[in-house]
Amino acid sequence: MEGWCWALTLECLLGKSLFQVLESQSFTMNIKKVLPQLSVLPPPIPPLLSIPHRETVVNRVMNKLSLLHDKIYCALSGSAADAQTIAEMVNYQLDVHSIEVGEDPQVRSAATLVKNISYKYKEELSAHLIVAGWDKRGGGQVYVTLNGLLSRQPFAVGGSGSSYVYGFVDAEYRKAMSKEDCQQFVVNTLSLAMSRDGSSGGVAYLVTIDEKGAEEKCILGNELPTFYDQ
Amino acid sequence: MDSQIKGVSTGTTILAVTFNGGVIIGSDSRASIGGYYVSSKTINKLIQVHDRIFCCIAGSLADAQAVTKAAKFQISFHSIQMESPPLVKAAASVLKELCYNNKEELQAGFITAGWDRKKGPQVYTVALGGMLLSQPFTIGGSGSTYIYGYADAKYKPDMSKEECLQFATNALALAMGRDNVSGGVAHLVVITEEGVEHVVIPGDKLPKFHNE
Repeated sequence: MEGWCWALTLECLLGKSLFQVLESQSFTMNIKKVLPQLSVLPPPIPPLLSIPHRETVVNRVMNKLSLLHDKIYCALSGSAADAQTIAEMVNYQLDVHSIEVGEDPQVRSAATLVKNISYKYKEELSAHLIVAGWDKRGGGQVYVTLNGLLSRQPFAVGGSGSSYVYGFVDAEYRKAMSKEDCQQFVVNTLSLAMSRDGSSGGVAYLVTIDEKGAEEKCILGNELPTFYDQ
Repeated sequence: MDSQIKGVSTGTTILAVTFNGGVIIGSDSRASIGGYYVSSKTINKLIQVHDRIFCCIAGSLADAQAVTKAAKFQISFHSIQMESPPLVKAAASVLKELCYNNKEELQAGFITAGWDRKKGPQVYTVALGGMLLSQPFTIGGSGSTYIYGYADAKYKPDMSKEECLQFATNALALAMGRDNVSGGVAHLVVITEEGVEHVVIPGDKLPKFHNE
């Protein structure tokens, strides 16, 4: 079965100096995900007009935030089968790696493992994972691994619904947001994308990761913020 | 989509927004061939079809110019017959008829915006197959996909002229920043009962966002 979803991942700094941050390790990161409606056909290019496509909703409430390690999550998009398989493989590889080094793995390591799989099998796979987490060396971090590229970014959006919100995130993202502002920003973005993208909808899943751990939250469709024409 | 249009196309970003007392219609200024080569950096996609009615074009440039030329003639003839300035809806309907009756050959969509005495400021979209729709604001062209979220979040009804100009400029700047076939300068036309004001914002004076 094919499926599309999109995920928005943010990195927020709590406004402290770099030295203090390394000491107090107070980075926060949010990963949010929107559940797409899984569809049997490959997702369409976002249309300019609302041309209906024949698709089937297979699952309205699939959780696309996969745990890779205690403080590292990844957001799945693209083919659901491919993405889940990659996440499971990396979960296993990270467990082995963290035992070998004797401490929690770095987010960069997790992202590199995902990237290695994506790059090696790029002809066969069609999945995009955004890896995000917290580690004590770098704090909150976000990595994109599209098509085998590895790039660290302050925030990332992906999946079919992401095209509609590039403008919004460009305009509204600020460096060093607080945790609450960051969560609000992400929820707003998800809500806007869900209202425009035919393949996105349902509920919004949110995972907030900081030095204390990961906190999962689910926001129902009718609790999401509404905008002008809703 | 736009790269499948043969010849010169206006992979583009166009928008029109009503505010309290008028309407602002805006576009970028890039024309490209197949999405690979920028054939013009400064084309004007805002066509004046009558004193207070403008339209802007998205899609194949040749189709758009042919259709607007025919529409301009029909609208001025209609206005002479009626002995009064045409309604914005009439202008949009003329475009719609042309698009609908030639839907197999044409590949262009239009936004018509203007002011008339009967209903004040209005915005109409004529989509690819010939659908006509009236909306408080609308965005179109390939660059518009990137600003759906921004426009939904930031549009408010009954804005002032300055707020509306800021909204339109920001929206165009964001779309031009993400879409490779939109760019150049931002053309904005402010249409009110008093008249028409053309604002051009060169690329380096557009608002900058966090990643620039």
